[in-house]
Amino acid sequence: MNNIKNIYFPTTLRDFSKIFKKNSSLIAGSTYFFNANKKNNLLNDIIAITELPLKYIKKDKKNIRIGSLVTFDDIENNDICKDTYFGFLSHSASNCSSQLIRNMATIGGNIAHPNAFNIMPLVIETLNGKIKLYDGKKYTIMPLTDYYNKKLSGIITEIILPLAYDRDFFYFEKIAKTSSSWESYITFSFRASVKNKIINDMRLVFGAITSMPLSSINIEKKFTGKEITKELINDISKEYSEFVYNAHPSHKYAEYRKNVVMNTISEFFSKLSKR
Amino acid sequence: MDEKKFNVVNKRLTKTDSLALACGEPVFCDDVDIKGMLYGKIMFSPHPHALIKNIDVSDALKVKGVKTVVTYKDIKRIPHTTAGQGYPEPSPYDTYMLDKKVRYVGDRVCAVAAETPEQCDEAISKIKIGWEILPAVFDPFEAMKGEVIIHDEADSKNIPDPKHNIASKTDDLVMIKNTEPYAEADFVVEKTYKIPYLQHCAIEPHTTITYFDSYKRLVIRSSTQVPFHVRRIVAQTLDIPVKMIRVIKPRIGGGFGSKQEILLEDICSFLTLKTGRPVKMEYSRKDVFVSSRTRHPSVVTIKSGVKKDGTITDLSMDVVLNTGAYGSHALTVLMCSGSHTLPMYRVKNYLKFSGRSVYTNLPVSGAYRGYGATQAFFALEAQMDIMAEKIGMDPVEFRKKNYIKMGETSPVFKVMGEGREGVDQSILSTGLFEAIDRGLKEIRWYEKKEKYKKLNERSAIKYGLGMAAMMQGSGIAEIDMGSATIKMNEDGSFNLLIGATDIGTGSDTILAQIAAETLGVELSDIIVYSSDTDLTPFDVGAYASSTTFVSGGAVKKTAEKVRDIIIDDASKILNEPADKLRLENKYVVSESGKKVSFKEIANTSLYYHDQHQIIASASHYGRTSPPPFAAHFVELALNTRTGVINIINYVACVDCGTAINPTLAEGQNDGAVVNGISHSLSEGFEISSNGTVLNSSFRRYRIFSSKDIPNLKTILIPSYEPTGPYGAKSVSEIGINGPLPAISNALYDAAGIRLVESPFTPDKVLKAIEEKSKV
Amino acid sequence: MKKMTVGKEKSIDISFNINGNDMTVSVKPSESLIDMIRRLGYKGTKKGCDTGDCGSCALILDGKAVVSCLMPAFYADGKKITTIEGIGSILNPHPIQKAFVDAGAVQCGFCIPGMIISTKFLLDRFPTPDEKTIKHHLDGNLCRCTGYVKQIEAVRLASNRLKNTNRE
Repeated sequence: MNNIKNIYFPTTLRDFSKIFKKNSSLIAGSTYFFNANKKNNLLNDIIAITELPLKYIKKDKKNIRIGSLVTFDDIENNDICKDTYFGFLSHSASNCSSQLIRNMATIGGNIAHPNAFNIMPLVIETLNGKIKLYDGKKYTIMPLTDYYNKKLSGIITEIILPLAYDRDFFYFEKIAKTSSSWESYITFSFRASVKNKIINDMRLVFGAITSMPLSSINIEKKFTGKEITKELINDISKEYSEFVYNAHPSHKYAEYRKNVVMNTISEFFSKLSKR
Repeated sequence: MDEKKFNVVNKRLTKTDSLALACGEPVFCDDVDIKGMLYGKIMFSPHPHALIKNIDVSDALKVKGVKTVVTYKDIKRIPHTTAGQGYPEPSPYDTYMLDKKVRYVGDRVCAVAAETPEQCDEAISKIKIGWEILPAVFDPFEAMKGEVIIHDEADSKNIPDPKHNIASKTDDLVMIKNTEPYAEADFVVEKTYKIPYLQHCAIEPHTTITYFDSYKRLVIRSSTQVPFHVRRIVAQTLDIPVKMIRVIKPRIGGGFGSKQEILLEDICSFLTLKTGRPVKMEYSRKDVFVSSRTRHPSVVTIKSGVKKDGTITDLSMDVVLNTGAYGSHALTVLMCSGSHTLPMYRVKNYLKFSGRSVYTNLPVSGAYRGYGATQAFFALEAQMDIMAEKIGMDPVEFRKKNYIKMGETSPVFKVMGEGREGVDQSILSTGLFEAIDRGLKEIRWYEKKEKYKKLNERSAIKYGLGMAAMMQGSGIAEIDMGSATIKMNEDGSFNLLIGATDIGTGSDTILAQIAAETLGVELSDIIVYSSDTDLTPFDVGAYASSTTFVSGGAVKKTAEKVRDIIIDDASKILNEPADKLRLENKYVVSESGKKVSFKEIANTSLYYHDQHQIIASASHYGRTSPPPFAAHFVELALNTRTGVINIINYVACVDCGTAINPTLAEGQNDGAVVNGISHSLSEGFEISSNGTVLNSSFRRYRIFSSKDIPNLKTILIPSYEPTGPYGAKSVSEIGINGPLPAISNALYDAAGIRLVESPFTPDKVLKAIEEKSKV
Repeated sequence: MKKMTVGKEKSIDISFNINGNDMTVSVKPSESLIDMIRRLGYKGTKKGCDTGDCGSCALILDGKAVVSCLMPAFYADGKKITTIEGIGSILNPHPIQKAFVDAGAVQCGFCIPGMIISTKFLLDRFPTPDEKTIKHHLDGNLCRCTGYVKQIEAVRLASNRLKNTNRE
């Protein structure tokens, strides 16, 4: 990193747009970038985005908007995040690594560097959320999959989470060897709404399997609108367990994941049927 | 058990260095800035087994700031062991400071000294090596076949069978009566138990700084558990006289056995010799995982016989340890796995121990808290539960029936030593039975067992309880020695100079407590200075749970000598016979009522009359190694959906004799138990097919954090060991031996699954549950 | 817009406040915050892993407990840093430091500065935390000596004692 010439600290997005180029190096919370790059002598300039006005958690009639510089600790302790979605945001954020990392790691960074163990992408997918990207010229709102698939450049400014799901049933669980692990065997991030035992809507997202959040629109479509019966619970657990297994069958935990998914989906829908 | 009234010993006094440490005082090895200091770095081998055909360091030498690059060509070839043990070390002399051959991924290739660490890295990247890759072997059983020979060099010594990669072996027929083995048994159980590579994870990485002082003597400032062994072995490997070397031990950030080793001191010293400059070498966290030391991965097989009435008729234990590329502690860990475990039980007809430590092209195993007993107790205590079930006996009653009792001995003591023959001894103090009863009560064993039996029938979360009991040693009998010097100052205070090594255990404090007790003064009247080979007398160092028992014995002896001198001086001052005098509250008081203060005695001795320094030295070694005992009880909940184990309660009752400082003794036990639970549920190296450690970081090799611990209760069970200072034995290692078997037993109680390979991770647990449900 | 330009010596000048003292220091872009802190003589902050996993390097940066091994030194510019030396000294220890000493929570002491930093951060925001909250806030500070048992007691003790003092 010693060959860089300038480090910029823009305080407005306009300033940012003046210096941002397609391959600019961005550093935010610094839980990832610095250690990964301190021996990299090919870097030119660095843009530290920590001074941009992207630290906010707002709630309007339709959405929760969270600025990308908000940390996991901010989310965990924020009242809006604790009260909405029955605390799903706060609970999932508390599962990120350890307190010292939660104090530093930004949700923007968690999205921008895809990794199987990242938590924010799972949360966004579960809530059918969107991200807002600023490429230096314009803002675009897009689903996460677009951002990952098209490998777009720019700075994520905020995530937008729809309030429509506020009263749904949520489930977040990270299974790991120890409590403050960064890694996990598998992470469950589920949402479903049920009325009179009929599944209105569901979104089941799995983490730690692939570098992007794993979910199956097909299985979700197949079972939405159906009544939760013993048979359905059997079918859906089996389908999901095969699906997750097949996403990475050569992984050393593939068998384990197959079993855990089977058991967990089964329990999830059993609980739902009793609501 | 004697009721002793102590004034300083057995009191919860504050550890004397706690405040400095809590305030961030610069007392650790790396906390000094030395003018002109260079940085030293080792180039590590990328291959598990290879020969250096040619090595070209010319480009490395051209890097700005680089002062020297050393290879095997620059160093006299002296076979030695890195194990910090007393001379003659019972480990193979199979290591060379730098060698033409590398034997594991992470082995030393060569070393560089430069002005900055970055320059070292740059120099290392420019070293050109032509390798001859050799076939490698990673499994001990494969290695024993001898197709790949790791130590084929002619000059290594003390390797029992290099052609079959055997670094140490033992076959001890401890006892055989006039019957055919297993003939009298109603049931015979044979099972094998395994643990993987485990690392100490002391939070301070290994650090060494070496420099010449103004008198051309080599000073080694190092994070070490064994300063005197460092001095001797560095002298040996550098071929310089011992008198040229001074070793200073600063505060250490944990060792647990990983620093009972000469790991950086030799090469760092060599770089100082070559450059004439101070040199600092420190391991990165990855280096600590891969290139320091580990616990021996083990395969322990027990074949045991039991009668319906609960008698253990036969027991044969076979241990295969993976010692990695070098045989540091290869024999002693092997012997301890038998000598520190088998005496627990009375066996009727046949008792045998056999074992091998085997070379493989993997990281080097060495000393780690528990030292073989951890591996063997996993097997032994699980086996006991299995046998109890076979005969339908309660596992607690089964154990109580067969445990060694007060006054008894075991044939194991005489037969199995650590490299030399063992030492016969009887149990002169034991709180084992009290520990068991206390633990059962504390965890509400029978009440919960009853409750859980019913609850488990209808619950997806299965609850279980398990127990294990264990012993360890207190120093190595007839071998470990410590000494002390005490001198008196004019205000009635004393300097206590000890070789004993405080690695965070608080030994400075407890040894001062022992001195203060003997001299009838307060802890604050004792000024401790430890572990400096120029200023403090000899001590083997911090290992084998020896400091309280052995070094403490030396301190007590020394204090008694000083006490005698004080009384003698007082007798002259008071003109009373010495046998009518006693110490009382910093005075010497005579039966007739006359008294003289310590202050006056000291001043008189230093300045007024027949001037002399009141000073004495004494040494001590243990004639025996009286075992501490412990009983552990665990209550856990097993989630059958995920395989995740949640430890709810853990009760550890430990008999360490007199606890010189109960707070410190509890702290030692807490740490050892949590370390053991972490081993059981989370830890183990993941190794690639070419011998590379894949999880060599705190990120991937997970040790317990504050969020992982159960509700842990350590209970000290008092006993009084007549051969120990003020009744003390030891406490530092024993706690780590309980969790593996106790948890394995509790899992069986909860869900009928018997796990015999650690760690008991969710995937293994779930697999076992699935397999059981198919049966 | 703030801009740091790397000078001829491949260094940047940064200014910050550390433990109440204003300082201006020359740093290289690749220098980590912990390396700078230790280089300046604040040896209480320790390096245990250099990957942000052990918490020994924790210090307080603008009120937040962070791991200094993951941060570039240039991030300190314009900020307020508190290291363990700024929390209290042997002549005037902070109640948290005293509580750790009195509870027997200090064994080798290497993790302790980081542990105390995290405790300060915890008690500043939650003066009377329950056990769950204590464990959650200390989960980034690894310790191999104590098993955390007496350290959690120390935090409780500190919390009780701080209620009765005016110490910040």
